[in-house]
Amino acid sequence: MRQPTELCTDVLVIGGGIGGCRAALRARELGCDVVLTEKAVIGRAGPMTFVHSQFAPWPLTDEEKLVWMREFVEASNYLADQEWLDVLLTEAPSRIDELVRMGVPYERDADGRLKYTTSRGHKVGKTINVDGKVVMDILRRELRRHGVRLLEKVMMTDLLTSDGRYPTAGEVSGAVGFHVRTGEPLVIRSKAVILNTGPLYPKIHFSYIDGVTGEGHRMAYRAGAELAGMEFTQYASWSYWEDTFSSPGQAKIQGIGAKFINARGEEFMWRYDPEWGNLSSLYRVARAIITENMEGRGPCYVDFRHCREEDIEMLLRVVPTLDLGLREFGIDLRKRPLKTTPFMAIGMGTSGGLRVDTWSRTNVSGLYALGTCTCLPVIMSGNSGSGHSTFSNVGGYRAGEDAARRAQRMEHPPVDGSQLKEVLAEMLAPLDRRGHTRPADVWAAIGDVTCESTFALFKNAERIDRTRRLVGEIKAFLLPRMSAPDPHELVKALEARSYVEMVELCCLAYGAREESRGEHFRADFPYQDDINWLRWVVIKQTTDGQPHISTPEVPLDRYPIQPEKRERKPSPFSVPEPYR
Amino acid sequence: MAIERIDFDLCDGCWVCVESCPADVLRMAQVGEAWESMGWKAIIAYPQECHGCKLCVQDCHVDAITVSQRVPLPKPFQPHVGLIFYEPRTH
Repeated sequence: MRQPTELCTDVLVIGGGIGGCRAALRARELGCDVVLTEKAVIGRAGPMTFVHSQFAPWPLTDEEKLVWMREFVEASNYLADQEWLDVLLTEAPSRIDELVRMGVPYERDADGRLKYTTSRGHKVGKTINVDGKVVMDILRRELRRHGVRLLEKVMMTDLLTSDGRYPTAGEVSGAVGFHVRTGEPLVIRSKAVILNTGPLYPKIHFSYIDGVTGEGHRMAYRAGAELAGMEFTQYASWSYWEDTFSSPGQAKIQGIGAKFINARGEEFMWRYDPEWGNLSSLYRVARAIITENMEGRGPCYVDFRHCREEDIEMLLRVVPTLDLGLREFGIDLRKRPLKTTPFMAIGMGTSGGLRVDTWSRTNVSGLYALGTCTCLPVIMSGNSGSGHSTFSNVGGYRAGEDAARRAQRMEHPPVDGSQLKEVLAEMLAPLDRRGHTRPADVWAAIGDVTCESTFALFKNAERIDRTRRLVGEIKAFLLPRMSAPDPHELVKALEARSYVEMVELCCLAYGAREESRGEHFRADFPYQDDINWLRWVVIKQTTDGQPHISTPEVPLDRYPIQPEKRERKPSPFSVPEPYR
Repeated sequence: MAIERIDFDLCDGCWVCVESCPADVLRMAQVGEAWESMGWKAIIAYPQECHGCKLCVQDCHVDAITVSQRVPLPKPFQPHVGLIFYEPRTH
């Protein structure tokens, strides 16, 4: 095996999303040496490339803050971390202002002021709009200008721990990875590691974002970090148009007032969500469309015909992929409603990631997490279409600050030679296998198991258990046989590994939460149970390598916003007879 | 469904699309006949992994790239449900 290249730095940021870039810049500003690794290229990777709406509070009074906070809390069915929400609403104005001053060209009104608009999940809160990849191009320029050591086309695969153990009783001391073109292995020693590796998504044609398969989730879980919200991983989307092409842009499409109609022309969303209607969450809209189809009132459409021309033009400007798709197929959304067909897969919906405190710290010393690789404590089963990037923005800045403070008061923790040797060998192993099992075979197997309709739509204890066992078999038999003839394939093999291992944990979480809340729908518990289930489902690896589940209560006594009563509420979705 | 073509007459070998593809689908290669090299051009190394995000199309400064966003509707497991169940993108 080639000798790995060794690097040493104060703060290692893994992943170049908005949070990672903000963390790197802040730590650098405070005098740290910073290395940022990114599997692709900043601005052409991860969700931020396609984000078009950023939640943008202005400075709020305490009373206003509570009103804005309530929107998140109620939408999250009281699972949201209200301490985090307070931080978000307090600090977001400055974080957004800094982006404006960096030159991000947010949409403005005729007088040149920032144009505040609506997006899914926000009647009170406001968002500003810009094509996400432009934001990331600017942040990339800033990283280089400020001397952050940027390593693009580098995939990191495992954390190193000071005691050489997984899970660790010590702290993180760095990470290992490789260059995705040359295969050159890398060891990066650091005093802090900040993960910004994106959500847990499968590789499918209907998703715009690639390469976000849970590496951060996996490496942190292995090191002993807690995961939460892994049951809120019903990744649902409806922007597959006319049986032809899919696009990003759902939050903004809803934000400009597009309506969901069935074959009879009825706005059916008001039946499934009397409070939010057409601004309802991704999972509710997807399930509503499926129900309309199953009950014979489909197909369903998205109707833009009444939307204001200036709003449609803005939509197409901030979501260029939608514009390109409509042009390719000669569709004018001003003229007719577009047929929509939803899809569902196991992947981050409103949560499903690492638990973090308000400084973005995980429970593992020296390890931070940002954005969509966290459990999204401000959203969790909620509805926000624009809160994610702002959460990452605020969390990144704070992580950079805390990591810098940490780095300044310590020496580099030790790296254990045998742990290092072992993880490097594991990482490169597929390159040495001469078999025929490819990463694509793993994705096909996972699809067969997790997209089967009774499991995807109508989970019950028996179906969850069956799926969990089947995923366990893929993990036990297919993963160790994957071979990769080159570094490109090695990336795909390791991505498949991360996703499968995390999906197994999602199955444990589906089984643990015995109620229906947010996108987590149980056919055997078709109601929201606020008497027993105002709790988080937390998964952590024990010292014997097994997942351990705990269900701590949401500390509502400490929070300003509490439910009026705790009762059972039936789910708005029914379970047809054959699926019971 | 995927990237269909890079027009070698227009491509000037600038590398931008090769670098910007998030799925690492593209590479640079020598193209042309044995005695009439066209030089380095971007080529489609992993066509089956393209998911039609069109970032390369947006970045190409000479419009050499043709990508279709068409994703044919896969055979659903249960047709009357009207829900897509995915087929994996890599083949």
